[in-house]
Amino acid sequence: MTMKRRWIPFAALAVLMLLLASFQVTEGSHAVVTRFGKPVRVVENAGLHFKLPSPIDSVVPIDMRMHLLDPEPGNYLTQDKKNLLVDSFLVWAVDDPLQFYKAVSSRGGAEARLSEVLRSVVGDVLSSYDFADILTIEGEQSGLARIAVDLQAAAAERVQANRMGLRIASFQVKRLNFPDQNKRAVFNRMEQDRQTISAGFRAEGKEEYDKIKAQTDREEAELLADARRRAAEIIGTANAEANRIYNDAYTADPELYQFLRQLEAAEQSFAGNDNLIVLPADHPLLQALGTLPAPAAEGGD
Amino acid sequence: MRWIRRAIAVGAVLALLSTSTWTVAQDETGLVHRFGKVVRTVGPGFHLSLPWPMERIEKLKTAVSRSMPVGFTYMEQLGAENMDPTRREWLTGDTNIVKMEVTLNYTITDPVQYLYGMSNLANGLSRDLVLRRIAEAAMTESIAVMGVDEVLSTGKTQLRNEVMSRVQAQAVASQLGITLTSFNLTEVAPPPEVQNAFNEVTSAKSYREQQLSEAKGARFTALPFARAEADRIVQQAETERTEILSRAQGWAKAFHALSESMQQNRALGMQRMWLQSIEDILGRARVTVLPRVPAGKSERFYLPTK
Repeated sequence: MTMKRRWIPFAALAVLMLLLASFQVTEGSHAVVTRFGKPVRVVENAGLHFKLPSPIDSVVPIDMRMHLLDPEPGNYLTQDKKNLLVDSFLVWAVDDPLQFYKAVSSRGGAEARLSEVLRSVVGDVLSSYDFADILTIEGEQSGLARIAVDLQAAAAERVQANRMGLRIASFQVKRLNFPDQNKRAVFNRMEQDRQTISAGFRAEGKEEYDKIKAQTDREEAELLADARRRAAEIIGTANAEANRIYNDAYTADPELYQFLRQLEAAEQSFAGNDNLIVLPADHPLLQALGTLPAPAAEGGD
Repeated sequence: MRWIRRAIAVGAVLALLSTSTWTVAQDETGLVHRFGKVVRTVGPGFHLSLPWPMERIEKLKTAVSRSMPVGFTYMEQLGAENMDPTRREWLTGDTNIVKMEVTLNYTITDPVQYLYGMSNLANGLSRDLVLRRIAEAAMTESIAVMGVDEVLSTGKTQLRNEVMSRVQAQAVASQLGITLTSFNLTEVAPPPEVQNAFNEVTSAKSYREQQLSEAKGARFTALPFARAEADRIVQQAETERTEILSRAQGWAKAFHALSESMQQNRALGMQRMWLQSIEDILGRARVTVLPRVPAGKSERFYLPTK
């Protein structure tokens, strides 16, 4: 019994030492091992690792994942002094765990300093772009793509200079807007633009209508004029033909023709009923009625 | 004392089992961690692992399609959060403001990267919200080179494609471990402040269309009428031509016949015709004969009136 129980304290001590001398590094992390507070090495692989037992060596886990820093938007001036509400964010990660541990040690500390960097970098970069570089319908690409590159480069430079042991994975403008006090003016301008467009559409409608109407009227008039011209031609040709026929008649028998024309003219002149004809008593017509024949005197044949 | 030992032994076995058996559900993926390191992933089903503290399995819903609202929040929709109009506002290339709401759908395609590529947000919110930031940046950039009319009408497909590819590229760069499945423009509209002016454009446009179709309609009916009228004029002329010619021909025929018939005794024929005419004229007229007035005298006569 006594022999059997003697190993228990040794086993307990061994387990305790094992606990004090081992540590886990989780996926997505590195660990800085410090000896009496002084960093001595970085463990990069996740899993189970060993060290001198606490309190000689201790372990500081460093989160190597990407972090999003998304502060409140701010008002910035462009190069041409236009006021813009710019909302940007950056994605950062620890690059050099040892450096990071020495310089800032925690995510909170890093983000406090990165927030300052972000604000001044956005200000700097924005002030080197004109408003029209950012918002444009001229080109294929917005200046925002270049701005993102500039932001990242400028931030990386600051971070490098400050030896913070981290890198900037992405730095972009996520929102642009006009400050509230300018927005009314923007809405007014939008309204005016729309009114101009509306007026344009209405004028165009009127113009189209008039154009088609005028064309219709012209075509209509042309059709009728053409028809009248053709009608006149037809009748003219017919008259010429008729004249030729009359001429032929005249040539064939001028005397009869003239006589008939005369009669016709007379009949035309006295066309209709109830003409009043006044004749002097000695008119040949009346003479045609003749005198009473005197059969007695001349009936001698 | 024996029963205490037994109880400890049974407890130990139970603890061993409970930390080494796992069930991964149908829509989940299990990540097996050994001392914090991911050593393998397992699919749905029953799995064994080494007991605590050596191994554990972390389960992640990977078969579920997730959605991320951009330009609005679900809390707003539920009324649990105040509406923020500026959240919906985007600047166009012609410095207009448009209202836009988008929903992105995505799934976790790389569970290890999803968990260990990007941390959760500093304020404790899910890493998924990074997707919204990325999408906002992509939309801001795409819309910044489009005109307001393009955004509101023809540019939606382009916007959609651009934003989709940018967001996917950024999601990879930011190690989100997700894949975008769809991009839905749930709302695109002018801001409420200027909605009326935009409506007026629409009605002006339809006024233009209406004028156009009205004019075309009038033309459509006017021209056939004009053609019919033109045709009538020509037809009438043709009729007249026939009349003129047949009159002339008829007359000529009669004339030649007459001329022929009068070859023999012309004077007599002419006289007869003349008398016939006179007879005809006088027969239809009222004839008044004035008495002979001797030369050098004047007389006044009263003509009978009707």
